[in-house]
Amino acid sequence: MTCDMPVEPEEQKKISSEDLQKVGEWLKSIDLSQERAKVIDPDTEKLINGMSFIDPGQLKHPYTL
Amino acid sequence: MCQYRIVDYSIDNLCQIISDENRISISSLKQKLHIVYLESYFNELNAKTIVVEKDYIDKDYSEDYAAYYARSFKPYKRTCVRLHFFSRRFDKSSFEPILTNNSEIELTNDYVGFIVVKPLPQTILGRTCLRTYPNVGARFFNFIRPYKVNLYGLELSVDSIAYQEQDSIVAACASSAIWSAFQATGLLFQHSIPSPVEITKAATIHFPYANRHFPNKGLNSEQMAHAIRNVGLDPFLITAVNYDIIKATTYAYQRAKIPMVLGFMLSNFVKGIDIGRHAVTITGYRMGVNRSGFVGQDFYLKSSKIEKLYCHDDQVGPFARMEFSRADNRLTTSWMDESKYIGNIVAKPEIIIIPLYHKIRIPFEIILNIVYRIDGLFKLIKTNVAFNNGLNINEIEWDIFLNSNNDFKSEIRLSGELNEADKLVVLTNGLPKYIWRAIGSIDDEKIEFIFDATDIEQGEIFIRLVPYSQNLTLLMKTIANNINIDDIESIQLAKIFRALRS
Repeated sequence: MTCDMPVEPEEQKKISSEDLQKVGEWLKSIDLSQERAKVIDPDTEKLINGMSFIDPGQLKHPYTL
Repeated sequence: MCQYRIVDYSIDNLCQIISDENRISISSLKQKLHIVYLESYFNELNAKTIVVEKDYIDKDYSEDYAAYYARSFKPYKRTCVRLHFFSRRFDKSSFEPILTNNSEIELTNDYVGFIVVKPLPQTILGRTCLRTYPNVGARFFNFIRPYKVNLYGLELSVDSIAYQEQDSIVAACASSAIWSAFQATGLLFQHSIPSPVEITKAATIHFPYANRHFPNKGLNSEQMAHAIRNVGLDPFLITAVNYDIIKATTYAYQRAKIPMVLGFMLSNFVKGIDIGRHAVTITGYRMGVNRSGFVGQDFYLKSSKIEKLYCHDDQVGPFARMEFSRADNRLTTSWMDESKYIGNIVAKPEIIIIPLYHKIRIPFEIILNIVYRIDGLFKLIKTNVAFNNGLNINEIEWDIFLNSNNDFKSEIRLSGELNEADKLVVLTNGLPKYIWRAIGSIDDEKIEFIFDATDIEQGEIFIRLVPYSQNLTLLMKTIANNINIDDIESIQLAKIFRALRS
């Protein structure tokens, strides 16, 4: 085995217990309600939540062709 | 008298047969978009031979005939012609020994399907069951079913979903689209499949002033909803104004083998004029390889890879392509403009109507919203916590779809990604008839959330995690154990983290 042998992909991706500990500490230190605005786009959320809202006028349009 | 003919397939021969049977000029037949479409479709299916079965009694046409044509002054024929297509060349001398079981030739694998030709002056395509496009690797037709055919004692079968052209009398485009959708839901949810005339009657019975039952000039969404309720299903309407919503919805429900009706405005984009509204049945989709973010966000859904829809368009043909290639949320169509050019008529989607089993109560948007928030949380963590390795949890791709309990467990049973103990726990866990599945994948790491699709929205819809990846499972548990649940705005997300706390 040589020192420049590539690290196994499995090892590269593994989340270590140290990483998990950092995640836990960070989560305890933040106010999530303040942080979420950084990743939740209100327009996207509105689009998702409004998917099944139908304008009542639209219900009357006949599909005729 | 001989009741059948065998003809070498060519589009000219096909037109000649229809012309002979229906007394339509070949030139007017060739103007029909269906014929243009079928020519290219049969080339893809490699059709070689047509068997013409005369005096065929078709159930759906018989219903239409009894409801309308039987009472016309002009006599219309009661029987149809059924055309069978084969991808093998043969003639009468080789076919008759096959019929009498005196031949080694086996036609089962060469059967491409059939078209019932109605004895009407213009709208001739009755029940049509043709094989789907080949190369199913990237194309998905999730609810095709076997249609058994008995041709003079010869048992044949074609995997398809039935199609027919509207006759503009007893049915308009919407009735035909619903009829095709019922071909799948009838088998899946065990309901009777009404004929187009019965669909139109059920749709219009409560709307005496909307338009005449017959001749019928079209249905609106409310009328389509009535037709769906009439077979015991619940119509679920989605606003289809955004590409990614159409893709995500199509994928989510079609994975559970549920078809849908797409309503749109047709426009000539060169001239900038609207032509009118039209409805089709979405019968399949084609996945590409390039991933793109949902509505331009870095939120990746597998469904966003859909490039094309395949639709039963009663004015074009079965499995007609509609492509998501335009930047303005319009789909391409195979419609011709007035100069017979295909490519200028585009579809601006408006609504999707999904005929659902009444117990499928949790809509897709609830699950999509939960997953959007989980994905956002992963991104926050990745941005704020310096990991020692390269697992890019902010790049996760989500595969969200409805599934039956049975299909889910069959898949888990055959999965090589779960260890025996976890597999047994998941398999022996009691589950509702339908579940929502949200599978997050990044490289070879995978995690799955399953939700009860039959519960009520304020209920505990989260069922469990499927721990394909130890890394992502541990990460979820770490989040659950350390997050301040009172800070979580989404009630359902808070319930997930409470359930995961150990």
